[in-house]
Amino acid sequence: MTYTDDDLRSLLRERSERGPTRGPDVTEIRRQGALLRAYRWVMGTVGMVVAGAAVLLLWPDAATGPRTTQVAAAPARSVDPVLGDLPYLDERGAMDAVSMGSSAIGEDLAATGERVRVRVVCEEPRSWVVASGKGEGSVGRCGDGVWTTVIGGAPGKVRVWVFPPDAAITEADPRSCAVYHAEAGTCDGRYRATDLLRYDIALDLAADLGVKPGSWRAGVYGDA
Amino acid sequence: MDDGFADYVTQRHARLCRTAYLLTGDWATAEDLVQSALARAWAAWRRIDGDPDPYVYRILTNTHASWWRRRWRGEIPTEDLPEPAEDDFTDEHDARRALWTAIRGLSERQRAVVVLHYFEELTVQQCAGVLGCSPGTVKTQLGRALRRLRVDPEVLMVMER
Repeated sequence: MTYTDDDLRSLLRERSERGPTRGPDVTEIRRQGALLRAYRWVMGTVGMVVAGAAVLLLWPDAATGPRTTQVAAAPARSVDPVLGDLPYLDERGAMDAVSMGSSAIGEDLAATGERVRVRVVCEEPRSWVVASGKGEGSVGRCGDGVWTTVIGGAPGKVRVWVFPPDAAITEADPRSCAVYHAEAGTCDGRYRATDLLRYDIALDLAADLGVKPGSWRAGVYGDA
Repeated sequence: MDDGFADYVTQRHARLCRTAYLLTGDWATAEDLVQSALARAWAAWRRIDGDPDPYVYRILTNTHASWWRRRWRGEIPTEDLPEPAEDDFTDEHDARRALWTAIRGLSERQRAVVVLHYFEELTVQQCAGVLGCSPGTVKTQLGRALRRLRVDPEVLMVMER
């Protein structure tokens, strides 16, 4: 015997006709939602603390990053019409460096050696920065206008993206997302920070945002 | 603060429970599933633009999938239904019961596709959006499900066009 699709439709309607026995408890739903939101916030904070501790363990100088930027050592210069007063990196000894007048643009910097240090200065504090090279990389915020990281695995080149501080990015763990799209790299509609290490996903976010004003400089250094 | 959340829940709760029942086959589990999905939706409510339905259905099916995996007891959906005797299903009631049993025997993913397409009347594109996969995958899952349910081959041909 075979069935028609109308048989299927009417059966599904008929079987679910009874409906729920109790009405919705909106207060309880809100309470559960608030707990979930608090849990995600705690997990996000713990994640950031753990990531910070890991960076300090791997590269103790990271804690003194902003102090050792050596902005004071930068050559005298006139104010750049695009970059404004954005501090110079210490470009002495940099393998490669770039200065940009807009955010959400992926820039490739040449990098030789097994482990390289990447330093980014941003005009807007808390801008999101993504630096990746050959399957390794890290994502973070330009804390006080400076962000540093170390990339291992002989990257050859490092791609740096800078996104505005209010870009739709989350550091949530996928397990705490109501909807996690691994392929799109999104968690509840926001791009997941570590998924931005994938070129296609960073590109999607850049496309969503469009090119925005936002000056930054990035340099790649050896001897990490 | 709620931006219409309470109204949405009041209006859509019963329908969501019916969908959840078709996914789970148990009313108590269905009501728990809807409550959990709505709590997740509330946590992200401010970020939902436009119609919340696709988002809520996506949470519902994802939550069901994770519960299903966790509670799976090792039952393996059968690939083929046992062939009934020649005179079986002359009774309409028996035929419908057999179809329901077959739906319950579908894999979680296939059942979700069938429920979204035939109960919620979502298009293949919309199903793909809810399930986070390509329309091609939805068509494949739907085709397999309908074959297992012994739905008229003509329906299959129309769908696969």
